[in-house]
Amino acid sequence: MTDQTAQSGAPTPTSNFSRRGLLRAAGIGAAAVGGASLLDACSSGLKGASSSTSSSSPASGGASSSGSASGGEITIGWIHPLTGGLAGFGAPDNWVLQQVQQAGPYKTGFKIGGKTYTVNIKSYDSQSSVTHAGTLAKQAIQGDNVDMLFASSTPETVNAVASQAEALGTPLVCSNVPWESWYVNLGGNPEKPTLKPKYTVMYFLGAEHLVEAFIPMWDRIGKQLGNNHKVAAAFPNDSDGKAFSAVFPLIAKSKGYSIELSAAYTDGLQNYSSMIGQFKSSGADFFTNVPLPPDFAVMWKQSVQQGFKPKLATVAKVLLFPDDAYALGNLVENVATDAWWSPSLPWHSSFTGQSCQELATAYTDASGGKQPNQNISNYTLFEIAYKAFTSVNNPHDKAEVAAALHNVVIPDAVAGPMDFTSSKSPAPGVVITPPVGIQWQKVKGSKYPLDAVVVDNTLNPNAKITGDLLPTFK
Amino acid sequence: MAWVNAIIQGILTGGLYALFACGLSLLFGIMKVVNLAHGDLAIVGAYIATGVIAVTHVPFLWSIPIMVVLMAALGYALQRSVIQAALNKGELATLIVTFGLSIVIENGLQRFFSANSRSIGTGSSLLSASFSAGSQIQIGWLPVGILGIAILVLLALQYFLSASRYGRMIRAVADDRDAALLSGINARHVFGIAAAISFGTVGLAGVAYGMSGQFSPTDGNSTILLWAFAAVVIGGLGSLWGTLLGGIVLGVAQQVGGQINISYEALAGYIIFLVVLVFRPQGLTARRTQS
Repeated sequence: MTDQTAQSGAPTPTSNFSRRGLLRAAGIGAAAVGGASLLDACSSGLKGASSSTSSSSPASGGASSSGSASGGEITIGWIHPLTGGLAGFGAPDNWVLQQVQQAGPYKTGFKIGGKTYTVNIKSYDSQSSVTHAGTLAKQAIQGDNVDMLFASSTPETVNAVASQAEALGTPLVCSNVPWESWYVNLGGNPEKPTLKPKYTVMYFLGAEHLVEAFIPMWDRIGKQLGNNHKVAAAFPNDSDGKAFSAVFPLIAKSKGYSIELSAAYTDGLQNYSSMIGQFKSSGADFFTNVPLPPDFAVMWKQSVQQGFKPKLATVAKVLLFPDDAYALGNLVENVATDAWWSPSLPWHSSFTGQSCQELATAYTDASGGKQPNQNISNYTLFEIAYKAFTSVNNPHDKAEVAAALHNVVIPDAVAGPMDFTSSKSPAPGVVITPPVGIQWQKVKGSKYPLDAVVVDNTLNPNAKITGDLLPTFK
Repeated sequence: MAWVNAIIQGILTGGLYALFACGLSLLFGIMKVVNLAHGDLAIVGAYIATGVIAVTHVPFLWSIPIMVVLMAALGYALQRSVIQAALNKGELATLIVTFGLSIVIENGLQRFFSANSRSIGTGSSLLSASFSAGSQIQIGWLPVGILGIAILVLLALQYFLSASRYGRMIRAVADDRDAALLSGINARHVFGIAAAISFGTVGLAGVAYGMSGQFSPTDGNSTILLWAFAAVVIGGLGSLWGTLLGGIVLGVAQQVGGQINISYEALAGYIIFLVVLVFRPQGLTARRTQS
């Protein structure tokens, strides 16, 4: 809404025409405020409605063949960014949805207490907007009476949904959100993780895993080219940025690295010169950040132009997906980031037994030759939900389902082993899927302009190394 | 030295803001149309440029003139059809219509091009080329080029408005529409030409934006329109060179604010905007009309 206030402010200074013109323009300006917000409300309402088309699965066949009584319908709502700045995160989501509906329990129905329930999955597009995600969660819970919610991809989507789910008492499975940011939002303290969220569980990694994945890469490049143990860090003034600026310096310090931290910048800047100047004069060998993807494009181009050329750039939250990397082309060659999922992991679908590699290949085939996207790991949202629903007596009893979520154990799931009862997890309701280091490299003979090459598997030795770590700038 | 760098970078960013703003200022100065779809049209220009590259495989610099011609044609057509129809019903109607256009364009782009971000001219070394000015200051050629194009566009517009036949007609209609009509000027055609110029320049700005970062369908409404308005308000509505001054003041304010602390960068720009609005609502270069 901030932009509307400024838009409406703009037509007012027309006093250079005439007094009548001024009054008229002011009137128009005032009308613009009212009209704009009204129309915006209408349009967002329309957009919301069109994006929540349900894609129900034909499940009657399974019910009749099994001979068990029909138990009715379970409704699951999935709130995820399919459009907007975070759309790259949601890119494989529709494919994942189709995949689980093609075979397995989401096709045949859930058998719970001798009854078979058909499963209806509603997909809600958050449009990458925090407020819209929260509104959709409310609509799903109170309007569409969902039995469970999924929320995936960045705190900008997940946290608003998690708050609503806890407040309105609906089971929620989250993925692709750093656990600290998720936990703080629910009122927990990552330093003293005693709080157990009643309705919400998640699987992903945390800020500490990212820095732990980056440190071995800094070490290795430092060995090749010299190492001054200084890391320039650009963390924005948003929930990820705050979590990272709390966690990164401590862990880096324990490994002998000092972090040159920029002040917390506002998302959406068009010029990063002052920050780049600071990094240049610090002489840091390495660079790390956690920006919104469009901001990274601006910042990185200016860094290169203005001569900040770190030996290795290890970025978080951006360049995770092929389309983002292609959009920047040569500029991001040999920039490193993390991957919480890769096709070489030895895990399998608990529904169909497909391996990660088979799923990756199926995605490439279905999407017309696209590179596998690491958010195929969202498959496991469905695995956790199935496990929880099939361990209760009444799938519509939200408290019972929520309690079951905290007891889910799946030794082999697409995103990795899921054990919500484990004592090793950093906080109640959190499963960690440790990341590996990847780098965007030009691979000879590849059909893609840049390939995501696994270059470091210190945190997750299950993943195969597929290439050498190369310096970003020599 | 850091402060000198901040001011230089601010001036360079101002070039981009001025490119965004001059078309907006022109349309308002001549037709009193506040084009709320202006930012989205910049994004349309960027998509047309990428489309031209994808279809014809020309080098990306060649796609720019093609895009400008296409955008100008679109501007003329939209003006003669949708905007003129609204203009006949009064100034308020044009606000609503251009706002509607903005929504249609944004959602249409999302539908056809997806919400993924794109960039123009990736792979070109031009985008990362730079030169040193002093020991600590390094300046990219791209922002220098964008500022240069902004100045060229403004010079060309000034020449067009003061020296050409259509330019005189445009000024005549802007000064006194009824008198201009009485002396036989086809106001609709003249408005169409003004819209063509406005759309062409904002298309250029969209391409510049796409080269300096990334663009996606939602950028137009959320960021670009805001900058354009801020630059126009600071510089003075209806004044061509005022948009350049406004853009530069906005850019420098942001960079100097950012140099104090980068978390003030965005805020500093809006504070200047507000200060100008309160103390000099006619803008820094107040004129009755552009000429």
